[in-house]
Amino acid sequence: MTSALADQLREVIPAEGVLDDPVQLSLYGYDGTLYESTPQLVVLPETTEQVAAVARICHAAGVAVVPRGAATSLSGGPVPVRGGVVVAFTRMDRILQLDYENQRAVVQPGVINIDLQDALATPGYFYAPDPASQNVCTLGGNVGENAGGPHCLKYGVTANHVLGVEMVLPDGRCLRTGGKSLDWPGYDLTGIIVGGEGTLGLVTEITCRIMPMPETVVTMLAIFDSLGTASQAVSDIIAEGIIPATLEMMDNAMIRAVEESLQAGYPLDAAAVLLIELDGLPASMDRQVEQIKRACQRSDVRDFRVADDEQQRALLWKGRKGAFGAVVNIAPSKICTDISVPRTALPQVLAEVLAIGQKWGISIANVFHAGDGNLHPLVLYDPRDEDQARRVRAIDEEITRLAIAHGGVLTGEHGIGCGKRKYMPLMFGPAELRLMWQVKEAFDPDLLCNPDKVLPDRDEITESEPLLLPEGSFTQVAPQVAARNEQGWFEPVDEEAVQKMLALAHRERQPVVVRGAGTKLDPLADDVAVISTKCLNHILAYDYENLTITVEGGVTLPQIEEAVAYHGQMLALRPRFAQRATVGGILAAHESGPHRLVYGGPRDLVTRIKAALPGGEVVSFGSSCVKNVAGYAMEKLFIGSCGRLGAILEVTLRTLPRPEALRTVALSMEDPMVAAPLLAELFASPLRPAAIELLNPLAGETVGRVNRQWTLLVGLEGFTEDVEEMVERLGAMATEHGLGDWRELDRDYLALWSDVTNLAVQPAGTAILRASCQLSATTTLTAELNALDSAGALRASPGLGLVHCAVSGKLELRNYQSQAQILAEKYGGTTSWLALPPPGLATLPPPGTSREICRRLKHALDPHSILPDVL
Amino acid sequence: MISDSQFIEAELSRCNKCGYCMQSCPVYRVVRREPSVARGRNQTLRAVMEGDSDLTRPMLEPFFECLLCGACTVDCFGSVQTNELMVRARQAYYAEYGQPAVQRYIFRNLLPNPGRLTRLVRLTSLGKRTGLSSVARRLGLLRWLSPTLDVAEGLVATMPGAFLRDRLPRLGFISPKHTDVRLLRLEPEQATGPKVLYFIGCATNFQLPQTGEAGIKLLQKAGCQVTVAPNNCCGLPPWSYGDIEAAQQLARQNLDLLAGLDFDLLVTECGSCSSFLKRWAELLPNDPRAETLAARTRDITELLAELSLPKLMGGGTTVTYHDPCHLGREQGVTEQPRKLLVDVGGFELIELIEANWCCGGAGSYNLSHPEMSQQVLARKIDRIAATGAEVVATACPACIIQISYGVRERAWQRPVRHVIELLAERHGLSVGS
Repeated sequence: MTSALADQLREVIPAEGVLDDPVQLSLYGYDGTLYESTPQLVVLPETTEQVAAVARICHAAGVAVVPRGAATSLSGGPVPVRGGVVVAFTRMDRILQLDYENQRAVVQPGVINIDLQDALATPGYFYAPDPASQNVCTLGGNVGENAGGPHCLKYGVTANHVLGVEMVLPDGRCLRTGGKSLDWPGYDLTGIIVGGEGTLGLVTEITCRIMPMPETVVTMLAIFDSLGTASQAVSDIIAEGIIPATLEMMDNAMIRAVEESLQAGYPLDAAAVLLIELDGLPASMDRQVEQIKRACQRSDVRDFRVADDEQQRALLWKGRKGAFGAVVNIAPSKICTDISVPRTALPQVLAEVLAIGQKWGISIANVFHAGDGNLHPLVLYDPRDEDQARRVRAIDEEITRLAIAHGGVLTGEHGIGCGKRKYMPLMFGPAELRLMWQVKEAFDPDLLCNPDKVLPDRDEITESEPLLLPEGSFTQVAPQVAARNEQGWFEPVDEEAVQKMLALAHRERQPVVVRGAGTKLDPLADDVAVISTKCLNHILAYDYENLTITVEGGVTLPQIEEAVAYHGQMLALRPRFAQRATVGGILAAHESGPHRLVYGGPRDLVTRIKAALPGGEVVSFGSSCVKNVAGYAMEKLFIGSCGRLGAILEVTLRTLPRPEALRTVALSMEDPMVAAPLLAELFASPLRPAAIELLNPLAGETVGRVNRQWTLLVGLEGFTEDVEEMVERLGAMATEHGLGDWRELDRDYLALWSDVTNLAVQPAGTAILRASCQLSATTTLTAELNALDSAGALRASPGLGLVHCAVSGKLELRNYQSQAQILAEKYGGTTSWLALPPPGLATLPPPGTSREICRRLKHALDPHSILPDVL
Repeated sequence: MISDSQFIEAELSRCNKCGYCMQSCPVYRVVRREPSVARGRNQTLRAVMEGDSDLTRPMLEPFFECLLCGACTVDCFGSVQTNELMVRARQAYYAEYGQPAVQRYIFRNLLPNPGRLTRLVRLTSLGKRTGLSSVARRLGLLRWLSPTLDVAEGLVATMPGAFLRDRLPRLGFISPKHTDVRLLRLEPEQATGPKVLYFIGCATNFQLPQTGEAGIKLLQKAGCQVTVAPNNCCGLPPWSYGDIEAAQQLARQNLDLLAGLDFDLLVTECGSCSSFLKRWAELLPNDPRAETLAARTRDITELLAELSLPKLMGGGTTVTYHDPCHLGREQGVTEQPRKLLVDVGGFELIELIEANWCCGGAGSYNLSHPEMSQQVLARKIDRIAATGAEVVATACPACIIQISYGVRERAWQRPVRHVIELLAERHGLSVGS
């Protein structure tokens, strides 16, 4: 069997790329953990076609395939626990494209993270995710595990930076999701594949975001006499309105280990050292450092050091970077655990972790990402001592349970793999686990891709309690579940009522739509029942120190603003109709405004979603931890799903310190194309404006345009000095491009931008088409779209590659879209109507595997299609 | 050097399989296969130790394919000495399957007998200066080293006119009666430096005599009284192939030859020789002479950096420096060659990215694994190209031969020289080619 398979594989892969020697096979049976299992065969493909051919052959033979990058994994992820063929991607190591003007890189999965960084460094760019193993781990592995790293506190994890993948499905067909431009139609498959731990398919190409390097980096080291005060300092720094690039902490056991082997200059009796790094514009650095120092002093910092040069910076980092190595000198081996808790719970969790170690008589040293609550207790032991090994396993389990007890998650960045499968029921109920299984099956119906990972065995999942519903037709029963308003919409008052409404609709095959504030209303068919989330309007929890807020789906943004204002925070979500729209509606439509440029969109700001499904089940995915890779990122499915999969009941969102200064500057021009070279220079610079919009003359009316000219509008947010500096440098840039002077707009910043976002000059109810494209093509596409319909208001976001066009009443929508679509496609994008499109006009995912997977997902979540279905 | 299984087990037990050894293994970065990186090599060795498999040579190729450069040990949290493990593995392999006869002949009969070795090399090169690899071919060296002769063929451009030892009289060396020792006496007022015993490495003697000449002249200029002993091979080649016994034999033989000589320091210009000489104490734990000698050994760049050579002002020539593994990583001598280039040579140094990555020369690796060696070299040459430096400097004959080959293959006119050669030239010390 095996040799026949090997022969088949050798027909599609160069012979020396197929390994079948038993010793060599055993070398592809491990990762950085203690899990081991020998595969049947190993292949080392070099092209997507080869991967596809391997998948086809294995699929036909019913043999499992297991993707493997550098196998630095700490979860057992690439271990072929059920044998099969290991597909090692190390030879698919080409950087296919470094597209600076569009701020994207396209790479093969075997590219080593640091090799991408090195290639980007000379022209002054970087790729943000920087896992500790970045010198060896592959980007394919990073995608599989949704890798983090010290800098993800400020910049986010892999999921925030991967915009599209090419993936070979387990049956050998190819799937493309996302791409260089944003907001593709269909469900967020990229969001599920990232962090899918290689169980959904074999990723063969990755498109990711790259950014200009920050101009200044300042590194600080603070030494504390207690873990409590160190943790307090972390909270205080954030309370000062500062989000450092990194906030890393080490405890006393780790300090001693580091000093013993590295002499990084840490006092042996210190309880904690905190490594803080800021990056950004130079203007505010001194003040930020001063503020951080004061925050540390309030927590009785013993010593506060600031690196003056690269050498000193390296010294401060030396201890942190060498920490994992240093413990080897204390004990022969270690287990690196990985949990994530809300940052507020850190001091308590740390104390309990140490207590667990004491209880079992095993040393534990801690080094962790204090900024985002991600801990890696290092359990030190001698694996040759069976009794120690037994105790270590017990410790691992207790630490995992501890995280859950404190509202944390099973894993922050290492993944579930095979090690933590058994704990999945601690965090997820049967409904959630079943749904994840359905997602798995949508991609991999034969369960051949990296089997026995992430999800617990299906037969171990218990049945859910059936929901009791009165007998009778929808019309009879529905009014008993929820009252109707004057428009005839059902207004369930709580989660359970929504759940029952959907279950009832499901049972009775009644078409329903879920409505928030109705800001994206479109004509409804007569037979459709409307479920309004209006009454789900409570703020459930606000953890300002953790920078998260949990609200019900019907809550509006002003409610949230009011809640977070007291702590000087904000929700960086500024979509259309921000005064009225509900959070659930905003997420379902994946609505975002111009400020997505710096803060990201809903996809980047949501950490948890609770939803009611048509089957009547309530599921919750994610947590209030910023870093969480436990299970599939199911919450991403609901974002941008336009209410086609379920009703959003609850959401946890990240809040941010409110910026000190908010300023808007504007520039006028006859022709939008004139702005293109200026924009190109701006995007390549380390300046990070919060929003950039190009308004056609009609849209420009909102901000007081000059004559009949186009307006380039730039929103600047941040520390006063930085904003000041950005204004100055923008001025210099514009002058260089012969564009004259920026004028400052004094109107209230948020009100002004809200008008811009809403295209407020248009009459209410105007259809709005969103066109996407590659960043550098935005101005060209804008000019061309404007020529299509010069009577409509138009705003373009050149930093996002998005153009919003209000279609004037004169045009037939279908005709308009087909013309716009041709233009957008020319520049690597597509078009879609905002929110639920006018009937028959929905943009579909491209035909083929992508549409098919979306359809399977829809069928899994809503088998009777009671919710809108466009697929 | 404990060659027992305890050492192997202790080293292997510290491998956490984290995979960080992948970052700077030059071989792995070429082939990107698990068997070809420290983690995979060590796990293969573990399988051998545990008797898990029926071992055949193709499967054990990773043991022989290691450059022994030691880069993985630096990246390793547990500092697992994979290069040492590979030497033990080779030793064990030969113990099991027997050493190739030619290899055994070279290590046990040729290297310990410099006269015979010299005659053979001379015979084949005289009249027909066709290059080292064809010499090696005629000697049958390549038959066991590699079946792919063609690749190895171009490694050496030409053979020198005369070996270094032949040139000693011309350099002013005299020999005391009835000995093979050569002395280069200085006038007492000139002899301000230490008494140096100069150890001529094989590659320098046969292939790069001008380098040795430069070294001797620089030492002389720096006030050292130089003695040259009739040493033979330091023992590193057999040791690298796992023939530890042959290495011990050579070391002992050398100790006998050097016995009774009057010197403060033993100096060589070959980074590989100096590194191995410093390890003689480990090699011969029961011979106190080995320890004394190891303690007195200096690489020439190490010593020259301490001596007072006149400093030259910048000449504007740009140079980049490649760290030989045996000098940089093994001995920690990285600053001195750079300091010499800049201060004493007046060069402008452009740092080489991955300067301490093995060039693929690795002793006779370029002969035993020509294809791999060339791929490893290609990365090095790319990095050198990126510096744009006019001159490439390094400090080990094996690296000079290897990098020169890479430079020649790309038809560059860039000289690849030993640091001391460049210094000698800058100081107007004429050195015959």
